[in-house]
Amino acid sequence: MTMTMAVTKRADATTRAAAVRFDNVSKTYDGHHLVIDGLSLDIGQGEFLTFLGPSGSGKTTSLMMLAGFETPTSGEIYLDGAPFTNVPPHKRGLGFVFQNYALFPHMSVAENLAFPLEVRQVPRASIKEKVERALTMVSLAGFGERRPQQLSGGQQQRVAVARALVFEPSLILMDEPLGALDKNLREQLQYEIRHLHRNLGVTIVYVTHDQSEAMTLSDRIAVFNKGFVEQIDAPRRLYDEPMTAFVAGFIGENNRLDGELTTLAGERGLVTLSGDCTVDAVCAAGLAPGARVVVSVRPERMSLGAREGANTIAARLEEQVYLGDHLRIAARTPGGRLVIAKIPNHDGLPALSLNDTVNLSFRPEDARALLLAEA
Amino acid sequence: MSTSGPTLARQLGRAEAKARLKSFGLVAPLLVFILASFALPIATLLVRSVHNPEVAAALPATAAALQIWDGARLPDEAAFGALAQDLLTAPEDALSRAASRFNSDLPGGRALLLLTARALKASKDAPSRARFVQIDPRWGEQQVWVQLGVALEVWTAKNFVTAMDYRYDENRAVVAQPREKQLYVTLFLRTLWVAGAVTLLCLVLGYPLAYVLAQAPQRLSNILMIFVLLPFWTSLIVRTTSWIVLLQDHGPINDMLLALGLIDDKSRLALIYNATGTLIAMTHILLPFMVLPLYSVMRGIPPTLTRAALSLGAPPFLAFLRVFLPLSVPGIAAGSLLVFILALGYYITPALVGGLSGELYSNQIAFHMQSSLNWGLASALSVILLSAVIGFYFVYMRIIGAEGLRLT
Repeated sequence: MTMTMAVTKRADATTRAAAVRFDNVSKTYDGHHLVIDGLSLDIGQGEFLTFLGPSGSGKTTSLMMLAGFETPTSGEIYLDGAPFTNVPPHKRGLGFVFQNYALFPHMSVAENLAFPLEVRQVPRASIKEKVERALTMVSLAGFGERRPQQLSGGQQQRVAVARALVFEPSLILMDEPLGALDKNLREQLQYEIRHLHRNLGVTIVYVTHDQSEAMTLSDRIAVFNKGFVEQIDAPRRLYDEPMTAFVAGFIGENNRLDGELTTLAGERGLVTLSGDCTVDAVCAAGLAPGARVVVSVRPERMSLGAREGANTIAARLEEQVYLGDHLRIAARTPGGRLVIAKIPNHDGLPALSLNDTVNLSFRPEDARALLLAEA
Repeated sequence: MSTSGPTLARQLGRAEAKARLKSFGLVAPLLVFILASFALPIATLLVRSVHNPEVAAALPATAAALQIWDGARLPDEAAFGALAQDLLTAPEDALSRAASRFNSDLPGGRALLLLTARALKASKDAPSRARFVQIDPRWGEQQVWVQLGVALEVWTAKNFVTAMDYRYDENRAVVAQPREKQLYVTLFLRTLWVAGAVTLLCLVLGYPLAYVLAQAPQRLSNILMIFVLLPFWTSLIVRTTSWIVLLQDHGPINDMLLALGLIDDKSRLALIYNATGTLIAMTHILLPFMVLPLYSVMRGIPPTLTRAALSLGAPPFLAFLRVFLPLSVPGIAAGSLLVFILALGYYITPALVGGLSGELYSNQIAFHMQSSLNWGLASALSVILLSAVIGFYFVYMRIIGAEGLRLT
């Protein structure tokens, strides 16, 4: 991809000023049920922040409030420190990339791109040049005369991105922009969006329900659930140190071993898994002995055989699937808990047969005791 | 496989033929119905505008005699003889029908033919030019014979001559009607004007309505749509007559304006039995035909497009102008075409509320079909109206483009 647009250096994560601030924002449509419940978060200058969550979790509503298409019922949104809630959408100066592209079908690609410049009364000659540059940036030079309908889905999405960038906004919102594309194309465009973000230094707020997309693209991810942000962190911390059972379950695969926290010492605590054993785990903040917890362990952190200083669970092998790079096994503990483990195939794999009793071990620092969410 | 090529093609052809036959079988009843009840009558009507066999059938000898007549002066004795022979030998009903037809070419022509026939039968005198003139002096007028000649043409343009406000003079030249007898061209232009005005009014009133309907949540818009359709489900006569009640000189509208002091008793507005009445009532009745196609097109415009325009910096009105309006053009086109064409042929409403100055082309067609029984002229007027509609349709298609038009 050729880069010709002005390149701004990205600020370091720690020194970033907040570009956008949600301050205790709530939203209700019917007066009873809160779609967004007291949302407060900061989005840094030049950051790529993703709102991730299942459908109905409030992520899209939050984005729409930022764009001005929805109004918060209470709370305030600030852009660069100035209250933003009462600014009409057309004066917000944000780029918005819609899920279904929202290209104007009665205009050519070049006219679509020229639209935001024309309404800003940019001189004609300058418009032509900027449109050319934007098209080149998304590898669509020479497509200006086509109608959007004549382009493939991926090309249409590139046009939509170019249109949101062409008037050089400092903040770009994307609402599941890759949702309608097939997997290969999606991965390619993810790469292109990342590239654009890195080169242009713009702030991007991105909405998706696809966790791997969020992991690929984001500096930070805000995990939405039922109108709350459960956790907002870098992808690595979300995966390794989930703070709630929902986050642990939503991001990546995990084993959920329910039990009761019996003793707590600093960060570590002992969790009794009734019917099985007691495990040593890292406890989430705010837990007290006696709490019903779920111990979350990633399947790839489980190993076969007992280890020194690690928790060990005995279980009966129910299933094994050979996947080439790893062996995936599912085993049932005496207490009835199903444990999944991924055994990497680097030193050869053990020969197992169904109904064998296996010992599965995991280090305490790979186990996280999280408050059991009420169903 | 290449070896099975021809066989495969044949099998495919057979399978497709079967499917075609089946689908044709499904539409065949409708096709027959349409042919019998629509295409055939219309074709007959169109033919009637140029086909005029009755008079020639009743008076064959006269027709032959007038063939060689130069038209410069009165025809010779042979022609009078032939006419006498025809009048004496023609069957009663055929002669009566011919006389009725002739009446539309020459006012009083029916009585002239029938009375002359009766007089000829009653007396034993040898029929001659003098005898004819004695029975009715009009037989001595060249104009009468010219009109008889016109009436005797089996294939004729006379109806179109009349429909264009022309006539045959005594030398059989086509000349313009005297000003006071000119009617149809003016009426045609007025019909175009009224149809255009109704279309414009429907668009001005219907566009915002369709817009609101299209923007409203589905449930609300379904309810509102019932209000649009409600008048549609009421009888046309009821709707039209309620306008008579509302718009008459001492109706609620005039009374209200009077009560508000906007008019005084002597200057009550003439809202009905004129072009104003026709305009108001027709706009009301044709409004749904504008709203429905507009609504269906507007519903299909994704709301994200307007949002996209806003997010790109266009103020709401500009977003409407640059994005929504152009995308709603197919609806405007379809609605306008529908309303305009329906208005061109509108009949009942102008007949009831139009009075004399609000009368439209179709009312004259009806008049000639039902009252004057000049079917030839009625057909000619219909042909002109139909051609105008088809003409407008094609001009419209040229401007808007076929893909720009969406009726559903």
